[in-house]
Amino acid sequence: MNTLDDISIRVEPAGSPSQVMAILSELLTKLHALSEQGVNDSIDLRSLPMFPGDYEQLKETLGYGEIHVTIDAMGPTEIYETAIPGIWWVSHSNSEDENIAEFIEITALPAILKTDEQEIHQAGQQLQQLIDRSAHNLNR
Amino acid sequence: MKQDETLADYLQAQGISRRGFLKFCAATASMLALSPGMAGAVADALGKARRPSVIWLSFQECTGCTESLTRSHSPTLESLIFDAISLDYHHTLQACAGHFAEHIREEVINKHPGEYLIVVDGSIPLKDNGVYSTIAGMSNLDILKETAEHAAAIISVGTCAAFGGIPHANPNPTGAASVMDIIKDKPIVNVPGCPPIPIVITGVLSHYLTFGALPELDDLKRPLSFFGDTIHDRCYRRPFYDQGKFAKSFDDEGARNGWCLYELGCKGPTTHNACATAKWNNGVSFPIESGHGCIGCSEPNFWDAGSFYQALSSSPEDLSNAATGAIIAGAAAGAGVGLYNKHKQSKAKDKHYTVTTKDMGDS
Repeated sequence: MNTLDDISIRVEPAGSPSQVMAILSELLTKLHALSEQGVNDSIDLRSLPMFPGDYEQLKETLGYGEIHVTIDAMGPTEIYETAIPGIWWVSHSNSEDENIAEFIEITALPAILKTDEQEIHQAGQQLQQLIDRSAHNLNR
Repeated sequence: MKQDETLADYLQAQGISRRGFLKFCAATASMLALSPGMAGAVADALGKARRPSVIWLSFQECTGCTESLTRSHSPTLESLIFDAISLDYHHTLQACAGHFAEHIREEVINKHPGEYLIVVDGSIPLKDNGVYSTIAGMSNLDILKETAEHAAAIISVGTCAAFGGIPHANPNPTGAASVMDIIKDKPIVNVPGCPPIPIVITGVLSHYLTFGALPELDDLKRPLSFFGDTIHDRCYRRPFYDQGKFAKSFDDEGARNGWCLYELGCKGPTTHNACATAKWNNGVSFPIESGHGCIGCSEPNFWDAGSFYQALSSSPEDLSNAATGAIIAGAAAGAGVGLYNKHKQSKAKDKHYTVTTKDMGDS
């Protein structure tokens, strides 16, 4: 059965004008702020009016780094560090795999990757229950 | 969700992790056009939010606004918003009907005076004592007045509720009026569009949940975060407008190259909405990106503002010098074009323009 994705579409960049250089310039400014003042920042890609082809060109220009993470929380979230250290591409999707938000984060580590402190406190109880259950099963 | 339970408690009870909540807040901050750095503040505020009761009143409408909302992308986000509010009354979505349904509406009014929100879609007919749209024997006008009396605020969803919309178009046989034409003593937020972008509807609700207040509004009571810019201001084809590159017909080389659609009737310069950034169908596209000019559906009297396929600058009458100057200079829609557009709207109100294939083929 043919689907929409089967229709081959060639996206031709509009040439000039393009938003890519402006976004790269903004990223450079924010990277300097991170390096010199420790300021985390991000760009909301959904708020930028981009030409067809700009999105693909931006992704290609920034490239891929060493870290690629998939989070499964209310649908998949894909996070990877680009080839530029400190610049991360964060793409949030819902449980229907539809994109709901997309950011470029300029940070040492995106906040969503860190485990919440309250959850760590509660994790102790969770692990204790696992230990108790395992011990019970062993003693049977 | 218990009445005194916070949203954070509720989400945790549903098995949604802190990461899931953060993701939800990041998407909400994006939706509210806040800086991405505000996601943490949104998380703090939403986490403490209590659950407001909402009555949804559907009047003289096509149900397109409800369809837009329920077909929106990110069902998890929308469903969370609707889990976070108590949608106690909605004709299309509620399971119950008849007297029991009406009893629920009355109960909300009596139990939560001054606290509940009303969402209205559809215009309100006034002619002949409002007989042209009634529910359970009551006219829409009476239902609105009765329900609004003890409401905290009213959100008018869609151009019909906000400005009268298509029912209001000439000759307006039912005497259709907007919510703000009738209710003068309650805070009103207009979320126009035919239909509105769904994320804008939930954005207003999210703002209320996050900040406990309605968003900042423009002179037509529209949230500035979504209606502060014109389509023209944020359109990706704007550079072509500035360079004077216009498509002359829907199938010429200019159209294929994605040039500006101004000469094909695009109303982007005089239309305030978030279509150019938020887009439609899960951010896939919006009319201009798909090759058709904006029809200005989030502005008052858009249906009577003349042909969708005649340029804003065109007219049988001579343009004023100010309008001509603004267009020739390639400047953003200046006061001249805006003034001319108002003039054209008032002229067009008296008659409908017939659109033919010639309008679409020639410009």
